[in-house]
Amino acid sequence: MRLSITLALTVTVAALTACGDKAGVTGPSAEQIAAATPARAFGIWNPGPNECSKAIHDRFATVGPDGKKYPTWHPPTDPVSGCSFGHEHGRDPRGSKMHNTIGDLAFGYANEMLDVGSTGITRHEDHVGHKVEWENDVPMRVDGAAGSLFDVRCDVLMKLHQGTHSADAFTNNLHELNYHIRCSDRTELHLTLLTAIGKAGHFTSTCGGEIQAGTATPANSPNGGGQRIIPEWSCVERRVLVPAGQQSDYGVLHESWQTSTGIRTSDGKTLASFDPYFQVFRPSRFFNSAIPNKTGRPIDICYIVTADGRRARGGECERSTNNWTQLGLGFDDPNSRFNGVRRQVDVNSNRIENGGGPTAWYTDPLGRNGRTTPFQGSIKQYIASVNNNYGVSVSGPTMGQHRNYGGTGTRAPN
Amino acid sequence: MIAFRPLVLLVGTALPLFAQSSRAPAAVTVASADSTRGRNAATTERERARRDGVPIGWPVGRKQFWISGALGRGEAGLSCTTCRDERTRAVAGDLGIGLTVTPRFVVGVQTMAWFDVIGEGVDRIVRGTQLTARQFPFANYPVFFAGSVGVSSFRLEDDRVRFDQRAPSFEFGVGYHWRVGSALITPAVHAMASTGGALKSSETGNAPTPDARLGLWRTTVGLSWYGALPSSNNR
Repeated sequence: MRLSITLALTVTVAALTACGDKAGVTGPSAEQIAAATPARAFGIWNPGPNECSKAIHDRFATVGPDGKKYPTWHPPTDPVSGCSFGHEHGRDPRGSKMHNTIGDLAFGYANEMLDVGSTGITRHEDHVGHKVEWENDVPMRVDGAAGSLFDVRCDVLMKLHQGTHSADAFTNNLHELNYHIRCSDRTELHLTLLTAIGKAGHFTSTCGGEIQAGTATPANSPNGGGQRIIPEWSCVERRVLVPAGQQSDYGVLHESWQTSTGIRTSDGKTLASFDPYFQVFRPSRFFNSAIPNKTGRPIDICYIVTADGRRARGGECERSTNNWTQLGLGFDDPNSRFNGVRRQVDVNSNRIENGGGPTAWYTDPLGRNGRTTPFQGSIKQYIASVNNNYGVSVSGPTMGQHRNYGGTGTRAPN
Repeated sequence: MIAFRPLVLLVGTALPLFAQSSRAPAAVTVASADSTRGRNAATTERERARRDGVPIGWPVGRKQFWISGALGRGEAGLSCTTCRDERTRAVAGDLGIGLTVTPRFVVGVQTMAWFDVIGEGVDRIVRGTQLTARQFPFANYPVFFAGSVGVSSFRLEDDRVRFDQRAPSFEFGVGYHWRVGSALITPAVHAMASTGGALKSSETGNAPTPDARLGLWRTTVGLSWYGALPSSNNR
């Protein structure tokens, strides 16, 4: 048994690291991975019925900068056995030009470093929430007359832990972000951190208004810029449960995590800032303060009929239930279309104020206290030695909006 | 704002011919064609030109200055890692002034400009100031080749921000002196290119690209004059 697992691990790791090798980033060997100490993020996923075994899943691993073993991207179905993992991590990063520079992503590295450092914050996230998106040669929008002159293009790869199946993000604003961008105007960032999105303990309703969902978790989470826009029951109920003759507006079942992140030095100077928006269509949850775990399930709404005859009509409910011929679908049923497999990322702006400065910076896992030498719990970041504020807005478009990352058997929690 | 530069190619070309027509009209073939005396003068001019190996109409042996001005169309574009690969046509012009060194070689200074009004307060401007030299290689045809070296600049501006690039530049051109009546009209074509330079924002001083290179083609028609210097020794 041990021999077969080792052999499978060797084959898989070799395949996963092939792209990294050709650009000079040598991925870890199977032996290195097998010998590495597991990080907290490794091995935490457990299969459901008829899904790939945990052993097959955990073959998809890499070694982080700290020498520990981390989970990494894998397809929704195992390419060898064909079994389903039931979840997906977005677009295969090996197709990104950035992969040649950064290698395989170590899911949960920033969370791990938070334990090592002195921030006093502990934050670990589940496995399925890690979502990768990338695009090569993305044309940026340049405002004003400069737009007629400049053609700035970027290779972009981002990974955000964006769990949209549980109550976690109702109150938790710290989420791991891998942020990689390289542009023709010499803008270049390779960052790993926990980004604080909006206020801890709060989120913004899809229909507007700030919702206090509970106490911040962790209690000492810092507030961040941006906001997490998440659907909540009163809003969902108005839009989805409609009278006869109308179609439900499932667009309300949409999350938009609007980040506003800065990398700062120990004296508070902002070296880099960026603000991508991560959007998920048809997540498998909404906020409902009236129920014990506060986590409502869109699929359940499909079966609600109000006293005045309002109900869900058309769209995802119709398709999920095969026109209501399938009753009692659970939120985690693969037939449910509320599984969060359709997403998009708005690249938006990237600002760097590091002209003449070093490219290697060490920050705490929150992107703060940047120094030029490593310290306990620090993460090495790359920030190009440029200033890219030109007095005009240079911002990126949306990527991923036409992709569906679901595979056979993909379901919530995803 | 239209470009007026010292000594454009046209100037250099036109000066010799103009000088002849104004100071020695009898020597100009066209001007003397209808009279016996004119024919004799034209013959004399041709013979002298042939003998001295200079273009017909050139004021042989005379130390002169020249002035020229020209207008036309130009096509400009920037080349860099972040620049759109587009070229734009707009108005171009130039001014020049200089001296004759030999009957078939003149030098001077030229300034040129190319001006594109995009609208809504958006302009693109190319300017340049260069030392220029012009050679008339053929004895019987007033064709010249020109070479210039100097500094050029590119500017894009709207109501909020301006982007500037400045770099050494060089230019090559070819033109022809064409006498119409008493005027010297000089059509010419010029190609200018600059070495790489940073294209900087006026707002922040930051440059999206450190290596923008300017390219400009100009097709112009100009008028030229030249006259004797006070100390020149007329022959």
